[in-house]
Amino acid sequence: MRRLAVGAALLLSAAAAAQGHEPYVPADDSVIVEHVGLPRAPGAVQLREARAQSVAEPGNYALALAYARVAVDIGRQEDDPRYFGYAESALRPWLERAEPPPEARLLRASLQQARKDFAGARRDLDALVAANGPESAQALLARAGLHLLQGEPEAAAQDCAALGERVDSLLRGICAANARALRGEAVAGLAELEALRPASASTSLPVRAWLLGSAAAIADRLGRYRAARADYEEAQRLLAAAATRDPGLLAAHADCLLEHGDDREVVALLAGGRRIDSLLLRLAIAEQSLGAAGDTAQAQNAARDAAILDERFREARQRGDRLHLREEALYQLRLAQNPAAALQLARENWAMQREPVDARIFLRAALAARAADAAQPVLEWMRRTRIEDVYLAQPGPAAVP
Amino acid sequence: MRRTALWAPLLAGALLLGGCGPAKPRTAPPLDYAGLLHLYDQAIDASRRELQRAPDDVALREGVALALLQKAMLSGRFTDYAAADRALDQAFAISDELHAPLLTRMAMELLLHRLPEAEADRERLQRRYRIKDTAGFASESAELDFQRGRYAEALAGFHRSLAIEEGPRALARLALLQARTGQYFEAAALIDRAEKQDHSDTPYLHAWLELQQGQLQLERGRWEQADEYFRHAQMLLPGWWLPRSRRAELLALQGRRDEAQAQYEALAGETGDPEFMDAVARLRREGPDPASAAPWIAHAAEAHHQRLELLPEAACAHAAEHELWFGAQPQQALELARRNAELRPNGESRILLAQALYKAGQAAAAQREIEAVLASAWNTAELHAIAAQIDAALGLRAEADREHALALELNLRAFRMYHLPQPAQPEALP
Repeated sequence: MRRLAVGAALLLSAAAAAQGHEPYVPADDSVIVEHVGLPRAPGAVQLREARAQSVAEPGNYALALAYARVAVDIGRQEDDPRYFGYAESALRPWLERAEPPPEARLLRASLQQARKDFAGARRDLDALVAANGPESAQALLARAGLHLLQGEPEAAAQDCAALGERVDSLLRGICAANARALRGEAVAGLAELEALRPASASTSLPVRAWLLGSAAAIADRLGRYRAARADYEEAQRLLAAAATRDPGLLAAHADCLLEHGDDREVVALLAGGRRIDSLLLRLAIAEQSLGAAGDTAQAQNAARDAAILDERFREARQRGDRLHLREEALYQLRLAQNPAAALQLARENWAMQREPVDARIFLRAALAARAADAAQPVLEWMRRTRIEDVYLAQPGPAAVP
Repeated sequence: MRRTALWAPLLAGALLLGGCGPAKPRTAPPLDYAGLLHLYDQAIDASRRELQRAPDDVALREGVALALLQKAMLSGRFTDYAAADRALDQAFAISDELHAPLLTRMAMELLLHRLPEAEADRERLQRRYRIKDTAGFASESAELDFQRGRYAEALAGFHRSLAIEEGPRALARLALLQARTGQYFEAAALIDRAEKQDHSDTPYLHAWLELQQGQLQLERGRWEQADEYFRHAQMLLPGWWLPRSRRAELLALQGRRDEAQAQYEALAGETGDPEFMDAVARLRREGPDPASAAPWIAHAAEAHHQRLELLPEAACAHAAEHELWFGAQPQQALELARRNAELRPNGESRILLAQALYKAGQAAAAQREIEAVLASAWNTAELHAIAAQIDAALGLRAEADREHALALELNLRAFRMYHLPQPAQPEALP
């Protein structure tokens, strides 16, 4: 914990210096500057052990890779880029090669995607697919996910089909159903997932959670709230039983609940996720809604959390961090009540990622800013993909997100 | 050639090079691998010359088969095994039921993983006068039980064999059973005892037993001690590929990629063994030119294919492992692993099947397979390490933690040694 605390102190002092203030220097080591990370986060012991082994044998690729994988897993659970930095640092000697080992390259593609360097991720995934080695199936699946993230369901469908016999039919089916559901065939995509559901009981946790999360997201877009909610809850239950979590899934679940005004459930769902910007944001929106309905305690919480978010986004901007444009746009739209800023951020975000939620934020920001024409790129994308989404069809300004 | 090669010197030692008796002076100068191969070739020639004098003599035909088998076990080449197999078929072709060399064939079938045939020969042998009371039959019978996953029967059988007549072969087989059921100290003591009973003319058996001691250390994660035994085995029979391959394995585990790759490339060139080609491919993929692994993978695939054509049962597990790590279609690895486990349903085969099931996306079936092994007497670090990884993938946190601890109890480096090949997985959820 001390190493992290010292790291945070350095970060804070650098930020302070950038603002022209005197850096804060703790009087002694016992002063806790900030609680960073979860000292007993799932996998923290494993991470420490893997790091110790890797450090003890520099140049040992297997140990570096093992450490990097644990770091990436924790980074995903915590949505914390520092862990991605650990992973990259461990693998640097191999990643600096003209031709990195395929497993390291695959991991780098994940890190690049997490950092929104989609072009970099795409380069590595293309190379792995072209090499047609043992990692090609994972690379195809990851590339399909990247296409979906960038609003290209047609390209995603091609990669899902190319998986062929390299993966089991369940995984291929979920991949294809997700692509199909974004191409004007949401009902059929959902039906495909329903057909795959019995088989998913015998597969690994990530695949089960993926099926449930996918079915929930499609059902939600089709306006089938109860079905969506049930699948999100089942996915969260499975992940919680395994003492893990997925911030992306939590955010999608929270969005679904917020759309239907189930704010108290959002507060309960995200109580343990305050450290993660995307989750704290949804929590603050729910608290704000509850406050507006007369719950003064939640109104105070909303004000406090909004202030924290404001500070975090400001620091991120100072660092040149562009990782949370989606969240920042939503923050400006819902909490800061600044539609113009929200629209600008939504536009910048749309240039990078084009998931249905990004389209929703962009449309609502445009409506709130009374600049409907600004949303033309989203409308064009909707026409091209033929996406079915009840929130995009009626993106009322009061709706969330 | 992990599985078959393990038994090579034992059978050869027992069948041709004599067992206990008055110690004879060792041959001088000391034998190396090439020299011993030459001796075995001479033994094959001699047995063939003898057969020419009496072509209808079943025992002489059996002698040719044994001489060929002895060489096969030393070289590890599947073509040599196939030659021995054919020679034994020729003995059976001229033999009546009473004189058929059933015990030799049963041993051959166990070596080549043809368990249903071994089972049938056992039944035929049981009907023979007094055969049940021989140490050799008891030992082969127990080995069959071991490979079938009937560990209690195997244990009793090896003890029965040793009670009839103690010898290094049954001692070493019992040691292997003890090691696979977590009794490492007992296993080491049994190999020590077997070494004391080695009075053979060549250093072969001694070197092989030293390798087994090293293997015991390796399976406990004691790499440094394992290397001492492997080094000694290499010194006892210089040039032998088996200790060299064990040392290459250690180098790879220690992350000494360049040295390991050089060793494996030399071994692959000398032996044509696709497992060494697979090892080279793995190491090349980690090196500065990962694309250079591709031809090695292709050559290995071809060699595995040839072995499957020649001796399908013996080649099955190795081919499954190749497919598991390099194959484009997980179903192919699964089919091979399933066939292997059906043929030889012991812990080793079922762990491999569990890995193939997991790679094919059938995590729950993989866990059921592993649970079945856990419920048996099989108790190795590999088992617990693979179980922990499958449990974790299923989100069974408590079970994964328990298996993790059990693996480390047996081998502190278990998770550096036993990896679960990963299927494609979704990276981030929507």
